[in-house]
Amino acid sequence: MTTVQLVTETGASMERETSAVMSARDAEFEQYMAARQTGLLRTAYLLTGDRHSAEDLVQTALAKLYLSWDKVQRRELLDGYVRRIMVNEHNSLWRRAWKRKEVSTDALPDEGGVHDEHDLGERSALWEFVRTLPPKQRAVVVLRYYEGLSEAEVADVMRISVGTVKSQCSRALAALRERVHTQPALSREGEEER
Amino acid sequence: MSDFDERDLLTRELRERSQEVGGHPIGLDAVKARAGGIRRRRSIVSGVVAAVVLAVAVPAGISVTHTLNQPQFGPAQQPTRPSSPSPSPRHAGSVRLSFDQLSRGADPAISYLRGKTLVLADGQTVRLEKEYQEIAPLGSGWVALAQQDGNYTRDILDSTGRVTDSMGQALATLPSTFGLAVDVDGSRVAWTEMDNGRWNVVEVTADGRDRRSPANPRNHEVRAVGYVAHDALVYNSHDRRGHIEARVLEPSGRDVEVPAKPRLWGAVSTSQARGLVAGQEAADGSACWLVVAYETGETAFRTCDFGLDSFSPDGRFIIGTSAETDGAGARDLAVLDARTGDVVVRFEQPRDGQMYLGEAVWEDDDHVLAPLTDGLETEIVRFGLDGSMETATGVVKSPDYFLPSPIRFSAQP
Repeated sequence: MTTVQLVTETGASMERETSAVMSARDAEFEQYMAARQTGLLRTAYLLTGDRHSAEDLVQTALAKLYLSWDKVQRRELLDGYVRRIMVNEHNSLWRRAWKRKEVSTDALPDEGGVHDEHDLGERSALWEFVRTLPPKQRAVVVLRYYEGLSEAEVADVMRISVGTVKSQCSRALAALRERVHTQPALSREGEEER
Repeated sequence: MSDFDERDLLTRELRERSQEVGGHPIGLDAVKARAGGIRRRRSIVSGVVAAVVLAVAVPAGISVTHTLNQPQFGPAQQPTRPSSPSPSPRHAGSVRLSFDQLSRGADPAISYLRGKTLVLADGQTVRLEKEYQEIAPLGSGWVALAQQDGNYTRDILDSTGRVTDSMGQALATLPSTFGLAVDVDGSRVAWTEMDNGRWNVVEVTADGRDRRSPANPRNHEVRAVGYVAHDALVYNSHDRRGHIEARVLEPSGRDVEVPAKPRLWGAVSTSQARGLVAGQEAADGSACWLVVAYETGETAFRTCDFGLDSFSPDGRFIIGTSAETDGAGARDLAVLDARTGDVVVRFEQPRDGQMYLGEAVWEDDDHVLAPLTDGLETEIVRFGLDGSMETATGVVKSPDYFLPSPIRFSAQP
């Protein structure tokens, strides 16, 4: 059961709403959008690894939020709701793209095809590590270690169990530890900055 | 290098990387244009689903008028009771999870909510005054919980759905679930309620008696899980730092931690029939799960391959889902032997499969019901311990994939 009360699309069109209501709703929405947009974009960037995809993801998430704006009755839960849209949308897009490839292999694809024109190949090994995580695991890592959500909050956003959050984080850290053994520069990078 | 160091490295890297993106501000007009496109796509999908339902309904002899009155559901056939072969759970092995060629079986043999309608196990329907999120049988009536506009409502209903007792609270914060725990004979139900600013587990018996958990001095959030023995209620206590403790209200009135070794990081289900508690191992960094005996605290089995869910009514089996749970739901469903953890049967899809499962419930000792979603279409599927699969409802349309299933089963003992 979700804590955000949503009801299904009723089909009531925007045209039937009065301009005054529209104006007030739009103003409220715009205020929220202005306050949260930068933060959402940063999270989306970490999820997608690409600035343009991140902007697209945020725009879609905000559009879905706009459609549900009147139905999200508890405004304090908006951030969690938008995060859930972004994570699920990103996973869904990734799944659809992956299916289209029709590759018969057990190996998860890396995201080598995603190019960020602003990067110019200067990514750190750590960032490359994050980018190679499978999307769902990456979402767990971003929500847990960037957004600073608790395991229970991550589980709630992603509709997964706390156990899965724990295991996904644990696996990511284990993989990172393994990388450290094979790429000592990773650990030095962290230690030098300390 | 410790876990802490790696977490620290990751956090700093993510924070630094996040700063490198500024992007172009997205304007309201652009968002509204995108919203318009989404709305149009949803309308198209909705029309396609309605057409599919209509196409299926006509051959089944359901009137067009009736179908159009309930456009989100496929044809309701005469209940046939679970029609899969009498299961003989002898390690049916792995079964491919698929919608393809699933036959239509009987309607669910347990009650469920669908909007403001309560569909009973015998197929009869009860119209309710409001849309509830959770419901459980109590005597000849029901206990139902609803959240709306930040208000939490607990109603006691008679067998016709009429509210005979109601309690409403406006709460600043609401837990993700209030939980409804049902005694195996339906004589008592427990749930969570706020009382004088503190969360309590409240229990009501069919004859009207009630009791509450002790004072909860630390004001932790609590949630009822289930009965592990007659009058012994297991509940979870969450502190503000996210720590979860599995506790039990004993018949004597004692309130103690579930005596598990190792400790449980909260309980997820109980078996009153066999005196078992399932939950996650409370070891730092562990993602493993345990089934423990309530009386002795001894571990029946431990698994790191599955997350655990509910016990079968007879307590012989327990549902497990893979650790590779999808963001939208579980990717597979397994039934494990509750004493050994051996896999009895596992329904799984190919790695690139895009279906996911919602909350699974036991229909009887041999069958599990779970919503299976592919895209925007969900069907309730009946999974047999013998590896059989059939649908128990028609297609249920979901307006978006991140919304929960429109069907909510009543709480089971």
